[in-house]
Amino acid sequence: MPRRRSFPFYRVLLLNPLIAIIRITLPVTSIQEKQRVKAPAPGPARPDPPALDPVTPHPAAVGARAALAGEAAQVRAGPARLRRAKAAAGVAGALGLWALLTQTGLLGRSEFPSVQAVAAALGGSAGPLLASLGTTLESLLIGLGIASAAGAVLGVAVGTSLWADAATDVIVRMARPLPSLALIPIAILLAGLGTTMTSGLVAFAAFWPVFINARYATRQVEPQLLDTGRALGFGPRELLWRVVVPSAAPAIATGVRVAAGIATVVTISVELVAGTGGLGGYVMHAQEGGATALMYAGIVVGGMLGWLLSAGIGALARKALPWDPAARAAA
Amino acid sequence: MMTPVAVPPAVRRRVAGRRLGLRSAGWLGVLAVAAAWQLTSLILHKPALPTFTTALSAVGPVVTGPALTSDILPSLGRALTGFVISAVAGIVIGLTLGYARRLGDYCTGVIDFLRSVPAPLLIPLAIVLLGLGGQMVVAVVVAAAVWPVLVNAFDAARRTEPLYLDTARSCGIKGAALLRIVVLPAALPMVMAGLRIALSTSLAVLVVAEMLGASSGIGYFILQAQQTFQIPQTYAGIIVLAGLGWFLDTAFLLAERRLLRWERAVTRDRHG
Amino acid sequence: MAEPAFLSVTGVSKSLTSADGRVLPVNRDVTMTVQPGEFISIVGPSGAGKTTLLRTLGGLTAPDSGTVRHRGEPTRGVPSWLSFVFQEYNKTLFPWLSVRKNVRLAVRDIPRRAADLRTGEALDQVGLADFADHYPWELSGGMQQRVALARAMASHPELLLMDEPFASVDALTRAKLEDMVLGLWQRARFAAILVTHDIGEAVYLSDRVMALSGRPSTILSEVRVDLPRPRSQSATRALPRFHELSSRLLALVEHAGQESR
Repeated sequence: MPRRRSFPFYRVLLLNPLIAIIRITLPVTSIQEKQRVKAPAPGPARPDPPALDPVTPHPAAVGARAALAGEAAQVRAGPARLRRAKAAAGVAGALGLWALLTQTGLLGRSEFPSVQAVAAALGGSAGPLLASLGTTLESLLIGLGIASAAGAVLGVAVGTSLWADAATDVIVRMARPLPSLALIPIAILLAGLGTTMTSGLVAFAAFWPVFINARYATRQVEPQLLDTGRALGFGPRELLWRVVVPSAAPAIATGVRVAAGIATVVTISVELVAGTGGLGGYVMHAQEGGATALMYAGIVVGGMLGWLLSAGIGALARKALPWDPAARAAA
Repeated sequence: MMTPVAVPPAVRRRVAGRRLGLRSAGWLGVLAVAAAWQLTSLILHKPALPTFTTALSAVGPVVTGPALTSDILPSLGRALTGFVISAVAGIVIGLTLGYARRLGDYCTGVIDFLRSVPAPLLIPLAIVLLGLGGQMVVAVVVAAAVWPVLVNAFDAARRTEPLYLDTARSCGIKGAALLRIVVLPAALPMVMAGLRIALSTSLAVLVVAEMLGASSGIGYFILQAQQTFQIPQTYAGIIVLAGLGWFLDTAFLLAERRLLRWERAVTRDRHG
Repeated sequence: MAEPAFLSVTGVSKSLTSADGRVLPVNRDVTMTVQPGEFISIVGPSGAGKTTLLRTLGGLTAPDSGTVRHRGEPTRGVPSWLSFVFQEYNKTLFPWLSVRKNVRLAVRDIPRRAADLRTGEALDQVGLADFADHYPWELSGGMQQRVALARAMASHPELLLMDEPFASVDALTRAKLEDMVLGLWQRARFAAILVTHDIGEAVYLSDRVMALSGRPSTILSEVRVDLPRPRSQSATRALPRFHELSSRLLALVEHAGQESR
């Protein structure tokens, strides 16, 4: 008799209060079935994307976000282009407000440079800024890459086994509240200063969201999809590659997105504490030298970095996972 | 009346045994990690990596010693202060902007950018503006922790079930009362999720801020210990921090469970 | 008895373990046979274990006791000559595959040209040839269920198992899908087992209808549907015999439903 691998619904309350509470807190409604256009349309009507990408702390969020994205279609927020224009206008307005406040001296000159001063700093110091950005990116991407790959693979592997999943349960619950940033001194002790240490710490920190999401999503594969796979004659290997992995992919993508944010914060924190180069080092030196405008310039670049990473991963997810309503909606 | 059917005792035993096994497997996993740590430290024999038992035994003196009042409690105070300020600000601003759709639309660009700035990058600026010490730390914590709350509140307010709003309006509720009576409770689940993240963010940013710009606190303690080569104390500090984080998280979850009792019932109904 | 029955189910019992560890007996001593080309329906009160029974019949789960035999041989796992259509199409069509690729999964083991041919054929039969390259989420509920049907048909099954396939669509689409299934069945003459709570549907489509008792369920009795074929929604459903059979089944099911309370 061929051994059937079963994916029983995880006995949440008993074995994983963490997941239970998250499931409780995020409203998961069934995806509303919408009557789509019956004739082939040039492109299916996309639901209005949510204006901001809400922070979702947990793999269960994928389901919730998919559900919410469905409801987003009912949110009459106007066409996407108009909203983007409004957002841009908002940014312009904020800049204008800042200029006003600094010009009229309501905000002290030395600590609050004017918009022009920051712009000039950005332009004038473009070289060093970009160089620091490059250094930061290097450690960041290496760490993120390792963490994503390891997290995805291990997460799926652990998720397919009921026992492995239970065994890692408490470990995950304990590792979650530990801020990896507190490990910076230890990391310096163990691995000195340099890209290796930074990438290593980043990898450790960024591993968890990907791993947790992958593991959870693997457990939560729709049982009927597995039934369908079995009904079509899929063996365990085919079930894994044809059903489990594609099912878990959206959650893994979300995990990577969260991990990117964590990676950014950790990389920069290491740079600040250890005094090694990168954006953190840049801003630190600017502060020590009293060059406030350069500090702001560094912060602006940092914001752009964070924003581009998140948007980039989101765009990749949309391309690779066209069926995931959450990916489609998070434009 | 259902015709009683004997469930084979073998099946029953198997089921019960399995559940017990799974539950203990978690703790076995932790034991395995601790054992691995112990073994590695014994093999490598590096002063930078004390044994698990050494690190654990250093926790006691740290928690009961002077560090309690000079570092642990101040950190706790700063983290909670920052968290509470972030929570209030995030909820109020987020819900208002989310509900007032037109205004919110203009703010999304700014919010998107500001929240993408890695919070530690703001620490040098905070030091320039507020000097060193607790105030700066709390400010940075707020600057970091407000975003998860704000964004989630914003999004949840936007997605408020139109039916709820219509029902409330037809009862004559409007304005701020509408926010308080309909939007906030409906947004609560998502807001709670955001608050939970904000809590862990608070702790994380707290640590870095204290390492860079304070002369007290757990972050300062850990860095000090490392710089003065008090290795077991360094690890002890981290363990204490992790414990603190776990404790706060659990407390939060319990509070959340109580607050969201109605949500559980609704979710349960939906899932049948 | 010369030839063993196409499908014979003997004394099948099955218990399920609920999320909190309780063991629930679901099916008790189910015995039935299916002849080749027959259309069978199983009706019963809700919660009676119809889905579990169907999954056991199809080999997705092994019975705790009893046997399921195909032409005399016990079945192992899900046989290749068997196809399933489940109720929730959005949980059985793989959302990351196009319609065509979904259907093609059923014939992935045969040579490419033959597989393409069968896929196209199946899509034609359900009228979705124009939507082959669309994704399931771009289609309506009824269309998605048709894709599920096409996927079931593409492998030229000898036995088709359907678990409340039309429960998730509106009444009009439901009638159209019933007729579509009937048409497919008449052309290919596979055996079919349909689980449904809609007694009218059961009588309309089947040669025989089995009534299931409440949980733990067993076959209460069997009603032979001697309505003339070919059947049509308007004509057949208006026949007095149709009402007679439906009422008889309804009484059986209601009685069974009260028993299990």
